Amino acid sequence: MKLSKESEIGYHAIRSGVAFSEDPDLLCLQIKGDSALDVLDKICPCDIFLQNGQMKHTLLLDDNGIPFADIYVCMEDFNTYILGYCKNADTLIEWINFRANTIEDYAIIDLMKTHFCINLDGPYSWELASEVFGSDILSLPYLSMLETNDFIVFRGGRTGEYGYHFLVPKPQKNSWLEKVKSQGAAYKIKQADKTALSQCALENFFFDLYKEGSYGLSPMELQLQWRLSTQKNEYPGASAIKNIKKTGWNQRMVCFISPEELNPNDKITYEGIEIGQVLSIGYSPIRGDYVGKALLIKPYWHSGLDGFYVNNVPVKTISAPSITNLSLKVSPYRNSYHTRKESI
Amino acid sequence: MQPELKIKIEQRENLLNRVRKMLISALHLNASPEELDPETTLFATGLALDSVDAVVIIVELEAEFNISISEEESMLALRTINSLVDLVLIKMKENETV
Repeated sequence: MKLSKESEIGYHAIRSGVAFSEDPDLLCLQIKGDSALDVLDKICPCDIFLQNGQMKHTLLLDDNGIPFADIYVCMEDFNTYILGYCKNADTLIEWINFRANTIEDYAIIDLMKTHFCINLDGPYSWELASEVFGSDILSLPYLSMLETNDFIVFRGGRTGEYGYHFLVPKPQKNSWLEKVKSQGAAYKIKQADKTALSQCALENFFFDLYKEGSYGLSPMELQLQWRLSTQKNEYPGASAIKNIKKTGWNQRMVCFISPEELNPNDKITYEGIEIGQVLSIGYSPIRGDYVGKALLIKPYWHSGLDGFYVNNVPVKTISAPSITNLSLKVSPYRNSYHTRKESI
Repeated sequence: MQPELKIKIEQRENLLNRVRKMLISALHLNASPEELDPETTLFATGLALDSVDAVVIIVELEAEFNISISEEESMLALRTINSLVDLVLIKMKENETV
């Protein structure tokens, strides 16, 4: 389905300027105490070597090695954080406590009970963010965080553009939002809805827990092995992952394009034989065609292949990301939204 | 399977494996080729490489595949393992036509 007018306005703001969004699905847990890092080490499939202010992208796996949470783990001043997406915070806290039952001296705080998340995304989001939240934002590298008296900021994002998640105390939510909107007027800021953010994530091949994450696929099938340590042996789901690596896997998620609208679960065929299925798909206003993720069997699971069909619609696999992000060409040291026409 | 597709798949698999092995060897990665998914990003997330690694990758690709890569081409190709393979394929085709 093509984006609604409202979603498309937000989409273009993300791709060319700045967009703000409220993110009710994002969860943020703070783990405090002397054993906070031990807790992360116990539950995460990645190596927990975190420097102060650093974030790391990983997953949480069930006993079958299937991801049920798409998270960053972060550390700042000996407090650790889990930021990301999962069904709900209470279930996650219960799961962590169960898994970390031999560890003492830690406490988990659900920050979303006291805070509200405002996202800023776009090639010039760094510029507006530094005006609204302070110039320290400019010095934040990708995958780092900063905690101040007024807010906590995580530099991440799922759009392929510069992205920031600001956690502000709930009582100050409206004043921060007003500040973002009023100072954002000079950047023609727009609000991005969930559909716009989801389309950007799809174009950049970011894992979507609520879409392809609902098919019960392993990190290998999802091309997310980089979120797991190659050396760590003990974490929830480790034996299942070891087993999959040993026996191998015969299907993999790949990026594809289609000239026409298709639906999740549509069968993909080659010479009349089923070779896979559509997992997710959305219209890309920048490309002018549909971009999707498909699960294809070996040996059809490569990018750069055509001759595949969904009903009578030809589809072609491509390498991700499906677009060239403007943020690749924008530098906080050389560029500005206000002189973008001259400098880019 | 049509011979044309079969050739494409074999060529892609071959190049993908060569690029994976080159990355492991040049960057001393603690992983097997199968653990490097084709859509693994090279910088920040994924392999978490830096600008020095970027130079190493380009130099190694040029040597391994006997190709020449411009700065602009490298900017677009240095995104994922698959995008490196795409660049090598384009460059090899260019070499064939010269």
